[in-house]
Amino acid sequence: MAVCGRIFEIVSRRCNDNQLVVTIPNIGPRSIQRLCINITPLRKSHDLRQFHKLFLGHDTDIEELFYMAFKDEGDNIIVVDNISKTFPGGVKALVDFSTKIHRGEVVVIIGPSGSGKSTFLRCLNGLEEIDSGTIEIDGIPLDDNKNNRLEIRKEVGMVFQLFNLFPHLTVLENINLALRRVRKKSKEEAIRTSMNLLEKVGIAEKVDNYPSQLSGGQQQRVAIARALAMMPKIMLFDEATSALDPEMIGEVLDVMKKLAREGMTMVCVTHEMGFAREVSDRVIFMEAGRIVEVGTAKHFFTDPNEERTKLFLSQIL
Amino acid sequence: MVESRHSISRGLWRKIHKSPLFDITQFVLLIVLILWFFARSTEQLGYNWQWYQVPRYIFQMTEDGIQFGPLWEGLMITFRISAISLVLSLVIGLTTALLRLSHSFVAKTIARVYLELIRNTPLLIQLFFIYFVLGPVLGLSRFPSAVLALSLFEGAYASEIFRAGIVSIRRGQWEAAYSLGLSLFDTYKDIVLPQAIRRILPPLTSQAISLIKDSALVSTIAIYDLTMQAQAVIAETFLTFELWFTVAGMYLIVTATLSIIVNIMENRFKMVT
Ligand SMILES: Nc1ncnc2c1ncn2[C@@H]1O[C@H](COP(=O)(O)OP(=O)(O)OP(=O)(O)O)[C@@H](O)[C@H]1O
Ligand SMILES: [Mg+2]
Repeated sequence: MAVCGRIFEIVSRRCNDNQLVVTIPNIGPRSIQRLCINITPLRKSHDLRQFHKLFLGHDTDIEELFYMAFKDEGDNIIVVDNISKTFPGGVKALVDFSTKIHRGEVVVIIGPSGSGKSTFLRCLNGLEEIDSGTIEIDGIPLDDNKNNRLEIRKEVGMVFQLFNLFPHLTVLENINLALRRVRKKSKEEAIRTSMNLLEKVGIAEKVDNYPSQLSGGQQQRVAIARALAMMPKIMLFDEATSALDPEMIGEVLDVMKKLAREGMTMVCVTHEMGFAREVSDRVIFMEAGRIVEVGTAKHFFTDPNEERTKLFLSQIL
Repeated sequence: MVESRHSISRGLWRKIHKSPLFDITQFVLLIVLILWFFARSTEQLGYNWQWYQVPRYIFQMTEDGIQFGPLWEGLMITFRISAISLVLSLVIGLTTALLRLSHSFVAKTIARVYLELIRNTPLLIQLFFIYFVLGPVLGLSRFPSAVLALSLFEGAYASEIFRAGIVSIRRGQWEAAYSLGLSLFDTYKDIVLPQAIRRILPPLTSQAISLIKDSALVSTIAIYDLTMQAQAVIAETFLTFELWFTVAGMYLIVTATLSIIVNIMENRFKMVT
């Protein structure tokens, strides 16, 4: 508790101190809260002196600090242990893949085409069956138990590259459907929730339109609202902006950033490094079904360790 | 030079091809040809046409009001058999399609056996089998036997239509429904079937029309449907050509009405695009 208070004090002082330039895009109550949550594990696994040195040194980067704090045990909402997935054709999409993701963490996954990024996301909500290993979502094991599976599907929202809106339903009905059928909400309540969400993603005026009457960016924002309607604890984004015209990418990223700032746990497959830099806590670079390198977005921009990472980044940046 | 002349003549040809006059001419020619053909053949047969006799076999006006004739009664029977069989065959078709698409081996096998059995034997044999063999065992009289045979037969074809419609729905739709936590039942009811129905409706209509036409076979187990009544009247009156033409016309009216109804439905289902 004492350490927590002390850190809090330092953080607030440093943030208020105009003399020191602290280069973090979104330092705010949430970041501080997160930092405090993760003090316990930090103390357990890291030398506190190292921590202080990092923090008090002039070139200290708080982003880096958060990364350290997040690296180990904590309030893990996603625990993936040693999973493998081989497709019928013999393609090894995931090989002994392990990672832990904290509540409220924003993870960006990058990697070349065919490296297993989508497969990893799809395993997290059971869209793809794993061959071995275990996945736990907020304490619930993703196994053959139907109830567990349903619980996980309710807790994990997913946004697809090609939106996958229901073309025969209006925008409102698209969002309403799961609220009515799965959450068993009354009609009025479902409409109220849907309208709030549509307002949040900025297309409240399109409620009665059909998906085909919307632009790509608008469709993707409806898809995000649709997933949010289930009030998920985790949101998965699989190249949510890849199918969009350049001028529409921004509006979708803005919604995603807003979500991240509100503390949503997010796992995003994206090549938008600007997004990664602005809101992500951790970037995972994978290749051929394996994790090659993990670090902050800044780390990837400035000094990636692996040659393969450098090569990949030089291609996409 | 040669080439340009060629293209001019091609353009002219296309113009002719597109004008409604072309269609009308074609149609008139066809009618003339058919009439000529019949005139020739009946002339050679020396057939004595007695069309004026026909209406009273459909209905006639008496002091007591309208009196329905045997053909009308037959039409009503055909109508009832077809309507009940149509509904049943849709139920059987959808069920079989869902069984085939399920992950259960037993369900898939049952569906497969049913399909192969029905599609590889003639309807007439199925009808006889149900009426003469199953009928006494299950206590089925003529009418239920006929309905059962027709529904099972058409259901097999309907199931293939349903299945094709269901598998044509993109995988993304299933995945979106899954990730929202929708149950399999709700996914079919709210997402898959409403979209599939737009693609299923046209082939299903042809299937329904086949059913109406196939229902003529029930006359073989002495059900007095339209075809059976026509045979009976002909046996009495020898108005062979007049009655068969009339009956064909009556079938045509029923099937055409069905097509029109489906067309209206289709327009209502049309997606906003
Ligand atoms: N349903 C499937 N059947 C067989 N092989 C598959 C299937 N889905 C994916 N694969 C294979 O698994 C590997 C990983 O695919 P995945 O879609 O996860 O890659 P990705 O990293 O998302 O690539 P991209 O950036 O192109 O989306 C690829 O080699 C792919 O061909
Ligand atoms: Mg992918």
